[in-house]
Amino acid sequence: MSAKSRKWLRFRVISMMVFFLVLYVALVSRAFQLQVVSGETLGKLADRQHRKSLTLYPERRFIFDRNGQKLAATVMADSVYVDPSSVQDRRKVTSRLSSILGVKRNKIAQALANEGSFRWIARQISPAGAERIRALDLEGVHLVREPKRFYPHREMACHLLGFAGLDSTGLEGLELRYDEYLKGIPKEAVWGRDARGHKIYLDEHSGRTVDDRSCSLFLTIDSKIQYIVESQLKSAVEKTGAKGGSVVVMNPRTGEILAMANAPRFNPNAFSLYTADTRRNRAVTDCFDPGSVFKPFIIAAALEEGLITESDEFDCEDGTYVVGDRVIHEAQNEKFQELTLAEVLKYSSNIGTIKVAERLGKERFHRYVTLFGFGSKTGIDLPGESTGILRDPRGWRDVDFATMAFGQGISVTAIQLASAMSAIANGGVLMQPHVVRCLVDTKGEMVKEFQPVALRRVVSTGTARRMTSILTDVVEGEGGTGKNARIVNLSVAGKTGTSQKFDFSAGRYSSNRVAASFMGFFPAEDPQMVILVVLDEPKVDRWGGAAAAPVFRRVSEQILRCSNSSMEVREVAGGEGGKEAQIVRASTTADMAYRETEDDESVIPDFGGMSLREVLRIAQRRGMEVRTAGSGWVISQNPVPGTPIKGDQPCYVLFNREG
Amino acid sequence: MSRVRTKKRWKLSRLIVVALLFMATALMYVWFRVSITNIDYQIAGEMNRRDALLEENRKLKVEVATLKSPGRIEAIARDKLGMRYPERDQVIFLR
Repeated sequence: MSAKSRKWLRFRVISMMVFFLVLYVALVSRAFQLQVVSGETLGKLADRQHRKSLTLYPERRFIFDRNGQKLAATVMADSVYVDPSSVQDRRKVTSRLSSILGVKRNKIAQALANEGSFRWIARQISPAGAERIRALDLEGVHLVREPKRFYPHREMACHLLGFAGLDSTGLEGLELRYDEYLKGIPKEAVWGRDARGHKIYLDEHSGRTVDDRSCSLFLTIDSKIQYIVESQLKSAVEKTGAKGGSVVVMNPRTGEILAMANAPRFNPNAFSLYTADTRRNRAVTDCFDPGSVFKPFIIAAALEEGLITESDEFDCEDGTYVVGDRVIHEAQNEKFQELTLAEVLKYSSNIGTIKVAERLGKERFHRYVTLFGFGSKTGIDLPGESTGILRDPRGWRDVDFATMAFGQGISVTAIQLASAMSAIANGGVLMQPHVVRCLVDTKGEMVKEFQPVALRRVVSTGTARRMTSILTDVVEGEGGTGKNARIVNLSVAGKTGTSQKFDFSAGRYSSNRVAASFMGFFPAEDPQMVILVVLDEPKVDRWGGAAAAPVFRRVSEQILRCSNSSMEVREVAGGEGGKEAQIVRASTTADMAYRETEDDESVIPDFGGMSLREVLRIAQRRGMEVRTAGSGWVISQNPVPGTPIKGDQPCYVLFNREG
Repeated sequence: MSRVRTKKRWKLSRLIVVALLFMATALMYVWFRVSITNIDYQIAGEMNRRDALLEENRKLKVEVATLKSPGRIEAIARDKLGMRYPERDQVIFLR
């Protein structure tokens, strides 16, 4: 190789080296600029392109009845929105969406005429509608999943449950009262996405780790009893032509509300179709003049004060009694002369009750009425409770005082009446009514349990027993006004009531518009349930004994039939047809444990009667530990069914061949 | 002369080995990244499937609750099976 060639080669090599060196320096500089100088900004830009942050809507928790039956749940539903900027053929989109969704064309056209990239068209549409829209694949029309509150039993317990709005916020009833517990926390889920928008999993995907403290509600309501009550109330309202009505079933010992129904009802799945009047929980919000169902509380007060005894006789003035400038008559123009205390209630004498109230005096009358809970809220865990109307006794005229004795001129709510009756039934203690038993968190652990709250003693146990005996005579005794509430082989205590409604336009009590009611409890010797029935303005059978008492009877009979799992039958002498009769004691409410919890996997199931294989299969499915002993079929278990499953706590199950 | 050449050749082969090792590492890195991305796609797919199944499960549970509705059961008993509530005198309580 000549020197010239070598020099040329050297020059070329050095040139290439310089070229690559420059290239390398340029590359490193660019890398430095991208990674270090603008690294943070570019990183954020890239993140924005590659990550997709998705807000997982809070899932509203369940509402169960006392047996674990679902009353309210949350499902996912599709909602439709449009991006007006990317819609090309507006006419086509408008007509297609209008025909599928039933939304007016001009409303869709208005949404499309807007600027911006987001306008709702329809929220929470049906799965079929969503499928049709998805199939059309219209440009600029999108579907998004949203949680929707769903009430599987439709109208059942509608006034109690209330409803939640489109944004999963409780608007009425328990949904409103316990909104802070029921609604979950919105969670943020971070997803990666590639250039084509496909989802990629990211390590830092942390959307599901938010501490969710939302809780499900377990109510005191028994859905079987609730159903019985609602169907009987509905048929009574139809039969009597009443404007509406309410029924409350309460456990007098604990204050638990077992059922609360109003007519008319509404479907909370489509609450917007009903008026606010229909959606009102009348048993709690509406007050009315109680009429004769108020009398037992006056008699109880006088008995407690020792002012009267059962053997006392009252002159009922042959049906006409003048108080101040007013003449007071008996209901249905009855004419009574001398009546014993028991007969005053049995025949529901207005004049007899006025005589008792006169012995009591205004001050003591007011004190006892207040003690029984009238004139103030019961404290039930439902929104919108009314206090009723109890005027200051200093403003009472003699006639006011007299009419109040038989329940006119005082306004009470159905829940106040049921609570006051419970105080007589349970031996004299006023219990606070409540509808929620406990709150259970997402892990199935009980967070809060609502224990029975005794507000105060109103009358002594002795007075309560004496009242029970008198009230039993109202139903069981010959010619008693409550005879239509009689149940074969079961002792019932109760009182009928018919009150005239105040006509605000005329400024006086109406003679046509009445509220017919019956309140009672059974079995009289060991009360398990207090039931109050109120029918608003019945057109047929306008008296409490004729309209409301049969509803009480039918509801009670059906409850007794349905509660076969916990019936207690006791023999008593005598009875219908001279045969040996039996007293049936309903103890459904005594059993505090949850039953029928098979569809709730957060609580221990009832293994009763199952084989070892079945027990192990269920335990495995629910991820719970089971320790077994014996062979054959399950005869006992600990903890009892319905207890929330706690992490490592085993369930001991005992088997026996004898069953 | 041959010693110098051998030394040079040795140096060159060492350079080639290092370059090959570097390349292999780089390729391995790329291969791992591709695998991880594929697995990420799979995980995302499985999570989607899980969410869909959970949703399905929830829907079925709600459907069970709907089917257990006393009103529906009563309607079937009454209309399809011809059942009715017993009269008062038809009920006999057994001990």
